[in-house]
Amino acid sequence: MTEGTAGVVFSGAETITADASPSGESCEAFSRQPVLALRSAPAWLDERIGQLRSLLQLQDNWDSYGGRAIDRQSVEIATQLLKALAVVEGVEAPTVTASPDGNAALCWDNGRRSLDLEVMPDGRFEYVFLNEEDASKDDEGITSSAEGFAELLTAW
Amino acid sequence: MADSRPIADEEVILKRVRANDPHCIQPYGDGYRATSFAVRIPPGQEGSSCSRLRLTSPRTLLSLVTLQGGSSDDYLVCRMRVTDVRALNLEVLALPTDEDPGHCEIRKTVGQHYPASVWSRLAKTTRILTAAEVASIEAGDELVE
Repeated sequence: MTEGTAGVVFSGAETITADASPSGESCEAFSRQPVLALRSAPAWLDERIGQLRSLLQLQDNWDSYGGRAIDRQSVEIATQLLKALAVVEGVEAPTVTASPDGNAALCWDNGRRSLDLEVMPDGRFEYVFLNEEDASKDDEGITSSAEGFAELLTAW
Repeated sequence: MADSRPIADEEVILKRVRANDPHCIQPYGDGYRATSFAVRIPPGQEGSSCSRLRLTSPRTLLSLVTLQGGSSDDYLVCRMRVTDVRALNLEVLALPTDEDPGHCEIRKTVGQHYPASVWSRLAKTTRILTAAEVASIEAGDELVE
């Protein structure tokens, strides 16, 4: 996945404004992507947003191995990203977690493919995509564009 | 008793994994595994702390968290095989402490470049021990792979 390809969905944290309304009609960012079908916000969204919010309660050493308290901006950006991804048809509920560096993180794994996504406070995303059926599609990097994540998560 | 001899490939190592608020485990196969973020090296540290099963039982590992003021109820234990860790060109070094004679660390080999995916690959080799497995180990049975 390279930054800035296949049209702009997210061009940076400051532009993550997708609205996960129940109607599923106002996700402007993803609506520009013709291959992605939209839906109403799924039932799991509120629970996952609550889990992201709860990350802010964690203090230093929350993991008992020296993990840092979670950055508020990282949680905010992750919440907006999750709202946007949730209204894309086919995107499943992620595991909401945190990195020892103090950032919010989202993980998907269907047994064949996995995506680990760490949300940096500056709006960049560090990702690792592994495809156990075709290692040539493995990918990792740091990007400020979230467009490719929806594509990955709907091509399970 | 402290044991700083080289760790055999056949050994199993354990790591505490926070299991609620937040979840650092995720479904995998018929059970659960640790997330990649749970096994990576924390900031400012040289290695990812673990414990050797032959010297530190799962319950002992969980009990150690109370020394830090935490609650063992917030954690589960994942296991990794040393051979799987080393297959990723990571090192496993015995570093016993007063509190944990089985303490060891997963470290990067000096001078070697590692992609970020090494932690995702490592996480996929982990498996969260079930309550039945923990009870069985505590009873003296060997961990069945």
